[in-house]
Amino acid sequence: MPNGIPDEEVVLRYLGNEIPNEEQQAFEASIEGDPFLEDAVEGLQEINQPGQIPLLLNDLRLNLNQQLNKKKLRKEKRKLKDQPILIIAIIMILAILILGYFMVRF
Amino acid sequence: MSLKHSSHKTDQELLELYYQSQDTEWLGLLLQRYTLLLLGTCMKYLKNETEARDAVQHIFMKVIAELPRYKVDYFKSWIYTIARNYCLMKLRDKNKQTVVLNEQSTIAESEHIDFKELWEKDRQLENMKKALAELQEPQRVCVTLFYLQKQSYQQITASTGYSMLQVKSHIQNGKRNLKNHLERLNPHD
Repeated sequence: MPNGIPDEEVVLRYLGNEIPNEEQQAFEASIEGDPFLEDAVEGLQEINQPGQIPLLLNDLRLNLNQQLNKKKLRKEKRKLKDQPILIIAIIMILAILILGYFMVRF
Repeated sequence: MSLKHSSHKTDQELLELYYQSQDTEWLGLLLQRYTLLLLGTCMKYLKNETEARDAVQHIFMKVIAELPRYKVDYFKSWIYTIARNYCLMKLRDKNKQTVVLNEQSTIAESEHIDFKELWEKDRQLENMKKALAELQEPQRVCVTLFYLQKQSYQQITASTGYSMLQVKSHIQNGKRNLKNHLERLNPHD
């Protein structure tokens, strides 16, 4: 169990009764004494359709990524706001371009 | 980096990468790793799939907001505490305090038992037999079937006629009583 977390596929197969008895027992023994894992497996067993769990996980992970991307964008915007020199430089370049345009035209 | 590709990194490594770079990608990988466990934990406490799903999302947001503020060393314990507290708060809001207390006492019992070492010591086998004999019948049967005969909860349920909850309870209580008996038999260990 890397990181003290059982492999997701093993948990899903356990929940779907798809592993042999000896592996079942080994899995149960491996989570024994870890309240987080025991709670999680007990809770997952209460889900009416274990086959739906991967879909639930996909939804949750998709939402998580959206949340994190929003946070990232907000951070980048803030970064831009925090760089007045960059903003001044952009304004100056635009001003020079506009001025240049008018000088050439008139 | 995908979840599978990050599996070789420990929680500690991902946490450090996140703290160093403040890049939410690392935090995302950590949270993805715990999604299944969070869903199960929330389901255990809230007993409702929709509420459990919402709870997981709230816990994600809480972690995203709070992790940068604290130096977390053990992510697994930390996120479990966050999840459990969140669910208990939800339950309190629903005036289900009785259930909360029962769950907490179960957690407290399981947190105090560490039996691995005891099983590994050959010289304690004799004492173990004595201790086993002192257990109440249902506890002795369940502990023997689970640990010595390597049967799963389901098999024990089928062969003894006890419910799944009874089997888990007998194993847990039997384990605790065994520990007490063994401590009495081996006062110096």
